[in-house]
Amino acid sequence: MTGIFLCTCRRKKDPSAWLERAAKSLAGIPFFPYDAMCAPEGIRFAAARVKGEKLDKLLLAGCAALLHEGYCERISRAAGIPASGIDAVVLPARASSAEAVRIIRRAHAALELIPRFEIRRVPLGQEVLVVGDGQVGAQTAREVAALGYRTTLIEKDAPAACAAAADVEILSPATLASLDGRPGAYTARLRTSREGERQETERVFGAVVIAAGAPGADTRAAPFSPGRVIPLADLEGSIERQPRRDWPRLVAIVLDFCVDEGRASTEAALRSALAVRERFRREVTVLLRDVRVAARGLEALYDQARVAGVTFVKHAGSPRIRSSREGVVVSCRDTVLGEDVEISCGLAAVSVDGLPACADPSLAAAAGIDLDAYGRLQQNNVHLLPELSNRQGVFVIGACRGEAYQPEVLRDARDAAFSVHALLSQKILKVELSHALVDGDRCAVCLTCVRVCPFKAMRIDENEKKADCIAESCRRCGICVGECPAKAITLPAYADAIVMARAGMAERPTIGAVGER
Amino acid sequence: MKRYLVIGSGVAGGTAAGELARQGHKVFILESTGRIGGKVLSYCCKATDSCSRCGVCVAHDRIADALRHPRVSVMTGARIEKVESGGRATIVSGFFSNPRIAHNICTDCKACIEACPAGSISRYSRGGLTFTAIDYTSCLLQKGKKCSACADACPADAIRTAGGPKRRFTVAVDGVLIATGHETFNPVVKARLGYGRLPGVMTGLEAEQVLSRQDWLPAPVNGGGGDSAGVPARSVAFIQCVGSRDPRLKRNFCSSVCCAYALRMSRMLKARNPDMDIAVYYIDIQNFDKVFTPFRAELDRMGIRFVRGIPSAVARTGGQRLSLLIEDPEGKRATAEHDVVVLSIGVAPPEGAAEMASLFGLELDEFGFLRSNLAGVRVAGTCGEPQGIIDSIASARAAALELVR
Repeated sequence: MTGIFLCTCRRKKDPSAWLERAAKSLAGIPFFPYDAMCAPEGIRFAAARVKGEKLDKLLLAGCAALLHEGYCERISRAAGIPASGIDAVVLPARASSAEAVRIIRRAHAALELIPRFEIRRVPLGQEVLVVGDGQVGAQTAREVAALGYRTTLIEKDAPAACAAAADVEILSPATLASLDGRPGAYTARLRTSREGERQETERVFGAVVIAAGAPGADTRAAPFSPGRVIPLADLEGSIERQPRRDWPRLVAIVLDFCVDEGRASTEAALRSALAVRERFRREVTVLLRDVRVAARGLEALYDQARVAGVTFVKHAGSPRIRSSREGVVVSCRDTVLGEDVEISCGLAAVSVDGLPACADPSLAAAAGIDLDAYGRLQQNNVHLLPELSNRQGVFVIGACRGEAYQPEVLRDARDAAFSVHALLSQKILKVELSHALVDGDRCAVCLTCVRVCPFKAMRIDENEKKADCIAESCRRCGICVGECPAKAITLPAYADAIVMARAGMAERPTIGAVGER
Repeated sequence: MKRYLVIGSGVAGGTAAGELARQGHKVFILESTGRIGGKVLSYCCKATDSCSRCGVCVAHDRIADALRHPRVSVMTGARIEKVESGGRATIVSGFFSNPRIAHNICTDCKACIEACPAGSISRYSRGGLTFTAIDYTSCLLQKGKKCSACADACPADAIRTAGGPKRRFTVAVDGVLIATGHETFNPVVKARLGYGRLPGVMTGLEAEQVLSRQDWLPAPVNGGGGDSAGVPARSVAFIQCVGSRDPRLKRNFCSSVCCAYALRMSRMLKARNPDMDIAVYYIDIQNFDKVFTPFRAELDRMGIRFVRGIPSAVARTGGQRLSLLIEDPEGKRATAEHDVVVLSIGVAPPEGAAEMASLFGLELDEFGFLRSNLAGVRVAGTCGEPQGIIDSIASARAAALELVR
């Protein structure tokens, strides 16, 4: 039974006649006027009536204060009614009783139709999977383990090089083959190989952190050529090994070859340029679109490089690199001088981060994570920055997501550990079962919903031969409802009848009569 | 359950408070003014027909989350006077101002706004964030009068005045998060750019405030301007790095946020006024988005002009326009005319950073930003390093982790 609580605090001018008319029109419905519903006494009044009259739903009518989320939470707690059983409508300050009754009746009709949703209490698994044993993955694993979660770290290359804490279980070489299930209990199929023999194990994890590192670039293809055009990372190695006499007169370092690079490559380029300049007294030219110095200490490093005599050429578009008799020629448009320049050098180092990037597509598919326009993990969505993903309880950080600047990724590692903790420390996830429902008779198992769901909440139930929605993953967005060609899916809190009732269409005999006046 | 103190109620402070409270801890927020939320409340949404991922709405949600939480208490008009160490706890004492609003009980009924005889109470509402703010400079109770009109009018009992205008407090907490935000660089220092002298020269922050109300920037008319009564500017220049990357001002660091706000604002202006001429004068564009190259290409396609080099001076032309003096590396001089010049001012350490450092025993870096090596005291957001909204949120959560573990 739905009780109507009408707040009369805004009706200072003798509300009794008004109320009498309203009560008469609403005869048969439990109706309780009160003069300050938003005050603590109002909440106590409602809670007492709910108990006394055995009400299971509340409709509040009055000013906009009743729409406030915090208020809804408080009255929900006091009255012991879930939020889905509470609705509030705003009555215009000078509404006639007939107008008020019409507004109340519509909301009441809609609320009556809303089913009483069960609350499912799901235990949250206290085991965490970390994918990738680079610095970021290892750091995350340590942080998560320190918070008291059983942590497993997998690495695709053998042997695992990481120095994770002793209480972290390490599997390597191991890859993630698939990730199914729901937040708090993801089933991961892990593919390991022991002594050449491939094995697959299934493990359940409460949360997953993906820190798979930068995708490997093909350093044999253009623009690279051995000994002349090398990856920037190899230049750093040569600085340690190569004697002074083997260094050419001029070294070029090329950033932003195709796409704009971040602070990580800028820092690496500046450090290498300084080392070559100061240790071997060679000319160094750094070619880049812009100097990315948006972090503590990078501007000072850039100043230091300029003072040391490193030349900077700011190019537009992509530089061209070709071989010549003495070595390599890098040509580009210099945007400071406004003219084309050619640089002949003995050695060119190109940062792989500036090449068209591409994450490991098999990992993305296995983990069910979207790709961004660069092909890296996780679409560019401000609401999911910096570590959240399209799947609740699955977090993505580091170079596989597109951030490689060390202070930032170490912060993101702590951030991801915090997210894991925020989710799993609840121990129990309370889920209102108002998720999308699939009508098995209509479902043609066409997979449209599985494809369009941004949250990987739809799957195929093999026993029932129909699509099925995971309540914990579903965010009640309604995309599957709209896209299903068989009209087999509904969101029970937004069923057609409820929406029609709320819009006042239920009172009308035909659907054609849209519009009020 | 542990107890934490968060100093500052902006993006970083709000995020940390909300997260800590959600994990079952009790959180006190200290805010020095009567208005919570910090600077982010005056930033505009920079979406066109698509989101530009500025994060202003995300920040609003974060702050709203903290305010609504029953375990978060906000003390406004607050000041810290003493910090002592009490074993594992930190004991912080000072005062806060009354009347104080319990934001987690307030139902936004506006009764206090109607009741206040001095008009000191206002309401902020944008996106998911709605709250009531008190201007303590005009509040009668703060002026020594006997007034409790707002508290008497509140039907939800959410306004408290007990303890007089300045109420003393002492809290013992398990951890302190300092998130006092930043100041913006005052461009009057760079006199040749004409800020405060030439109508039509405004700061990026002022442009944000104008653009959160309307779609265009006002050009100066008849020597006036600067307010929304002007005519729409047809040509706008953004000058980057004003007060950033400048060794002569002892500010040779990048402010990290100016390229992001200027480029997003220019995209929004251009999308709404396609005929507008927009030029961005810059040294280096700092990429700020996960997928930056297509974003930058979109700006080029839209016809936003990128001019490398910072104009050295702004002057008034015979008409109502502004003339920018541009010197190229070879010393050749040129001028460019615009209606409005937006100075992308940088981030400066917060007012009172030195005081905060001495109270808690922290270090200041060479530019005056806060740093902490103490286990129970963490620094997050722009008071530690210039950073954008998303980074401030991330730094606050990372700092919260260090406090709870």
